Amino acid sequence: MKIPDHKAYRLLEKYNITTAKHVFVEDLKEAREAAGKLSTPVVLKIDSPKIVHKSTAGCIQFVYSAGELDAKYNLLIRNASRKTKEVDGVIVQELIDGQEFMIGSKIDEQFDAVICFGLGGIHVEALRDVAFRLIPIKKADAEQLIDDTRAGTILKSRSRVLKTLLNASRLVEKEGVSEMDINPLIVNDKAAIAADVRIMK
Amino acid sequence: MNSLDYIFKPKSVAVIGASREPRKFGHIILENFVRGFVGRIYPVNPGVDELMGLRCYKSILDVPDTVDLAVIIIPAGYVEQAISECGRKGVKAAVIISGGFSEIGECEREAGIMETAEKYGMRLVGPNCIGVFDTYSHVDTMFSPVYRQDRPSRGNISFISQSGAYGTAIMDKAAADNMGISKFVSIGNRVDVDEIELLRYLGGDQNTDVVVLYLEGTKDGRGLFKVLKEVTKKKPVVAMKGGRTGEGSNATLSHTASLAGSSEVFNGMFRQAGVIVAENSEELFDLARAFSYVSLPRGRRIQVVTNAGGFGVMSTDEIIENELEMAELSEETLRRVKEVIPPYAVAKNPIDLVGDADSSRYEQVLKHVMADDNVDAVFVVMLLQLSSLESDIVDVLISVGTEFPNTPLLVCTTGGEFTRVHTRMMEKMSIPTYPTPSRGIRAMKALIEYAGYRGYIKTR
Repeated sequence: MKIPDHKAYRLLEKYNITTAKHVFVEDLKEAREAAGKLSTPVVLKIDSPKIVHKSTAGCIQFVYSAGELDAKYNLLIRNASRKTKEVDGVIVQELIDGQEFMIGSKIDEQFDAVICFGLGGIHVEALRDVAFRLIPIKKADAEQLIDDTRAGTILKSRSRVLKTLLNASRLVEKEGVSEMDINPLIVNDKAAIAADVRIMK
Repeated sequence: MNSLDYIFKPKSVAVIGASREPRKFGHIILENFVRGFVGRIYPVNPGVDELMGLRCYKSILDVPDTVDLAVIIIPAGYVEQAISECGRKGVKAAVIISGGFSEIGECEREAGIMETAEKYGMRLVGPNCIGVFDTYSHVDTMFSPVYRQDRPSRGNISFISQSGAYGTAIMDKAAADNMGISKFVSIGNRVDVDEIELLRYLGGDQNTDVVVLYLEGTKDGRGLFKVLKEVTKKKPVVAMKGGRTGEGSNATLSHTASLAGSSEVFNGMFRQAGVIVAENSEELFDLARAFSYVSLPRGRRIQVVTNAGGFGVMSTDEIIENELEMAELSEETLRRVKEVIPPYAVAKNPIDLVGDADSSRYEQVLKHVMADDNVDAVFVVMLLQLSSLESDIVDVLISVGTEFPNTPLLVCTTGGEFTRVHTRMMEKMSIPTYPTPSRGIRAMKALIEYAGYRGYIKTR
């Protein structure tokens, strides 16, 4: 079962994983307030248990100026309604620049919980630059996990990603997560930030 | 005494299903034991009185002596009965060659033999396997005749394989290439003895210095991870996961699930456990040979010595691409090297001894290079097509290797039959020799990575 995305963000924060600033809203009025608070540009994302691949479903919309917000919000809702009636709400989120990586987990048939790290973004499946380790991982495992990927060679803020990996491992272990994608994990000079997440329990 | 000792070093063996027909497995396996096994051998076959000069028994129960190990080569339907009789006889372990169990969906039949064996505390290898080969005890249940599949000589590599046929082919190849083997076990359906228990056993086996593992899957992933972590702290484990493609993950909900094929996870687990992962079957034994023959390096700086410029270039490329380092010789060494090479040869890294180099030029240079503290490992390229290089280069490499046992020396030599003859000589003398720079340097990298894992190399 996919847990609502706004709750997934809470779970990450509980384990000290930095998330992109965001507000969970349930209508356009709240969305306007949130956009005002975060200040544009922002991104709008549908939060629905039924929509897993948001970008291909048109369920992610970028809002570059306040004037665009209403139209983009309505477009988002319309696109979502084509897919499902089950929509929890919308996540209004700040935009962050940086390198895109991913951290994920799943329950493997033979090895139980495993964690992965690799190049993030929308092309992860095409580029397949990921490596796996069994959960729980130690710092040395996390180091080697990063080194096993080509993405690791361009990584800017290695120590932050190491911490995030260890925190993610702990989260999966303690919270009984069956599948998780933190993608993208945005890394820049200042931080490693979970900009999108989906968690299955 | 470990119960697996009855499998690898029994004092007496019964071959149940021993046969008069030369092409039958029961004949070949009995012949194997007659050829080399020093313990007592009891063929069992109700229709035969004598086989290969040995008295043949109607049932294992008629054998007048204790039996440690039974090798069972009879139709699947009769195996449970045979196991039961073995149990009553007090047989300690059985290798069941016969197929016709869970691999064709006969799971109840398989559970039946396991239950019977458990009742008597008997250990089982297989069913549906090639079984066990041990160059020290001469236990040999491989059922390919020696004219088709030669047996390798004694060595320190032990091989656990989920595929029997692959193991058979490798044993034959090992014999032809002069690669020494300690033990080979084909685990088959692993109803009882599995890769985990074997790894633990081989980890403590003094005749095994390198463990090679071919697996397609495991029944206890966490157990496998745990034992691998233990064994890799004592000796290198080189592994390959078969079944890389196969069915993808059914789950498509997350990116992670779709990326996590069983081999990605397997290889991640291997690396986490300190296992050296081989990409393919060729590499599996390329790496195993290096670990088998040479000591672990104390750093990542490699000196290349060659008689062919192009191969020096290729070797350098491989070293850099594999994130290893080119050694920088000390000034003292450089000076000495220059003294013994002609002015038109190149004394740096690679050292190019050029095309007219003979074995004594190699010898003098190698002695200086191997002694240099700035050099952690040496990669010798020798092209035997060049007529000034005589066969005694083999003697030179052996003596240099013996004089400097702590600096690993790997050799690359590319060519046809003349080269292959020399390669086999060197393999016989435990000099790891590779047909291309890429394969040799890949082995070098594995040595260095494992040395790092064992703490022999200070981290950068």
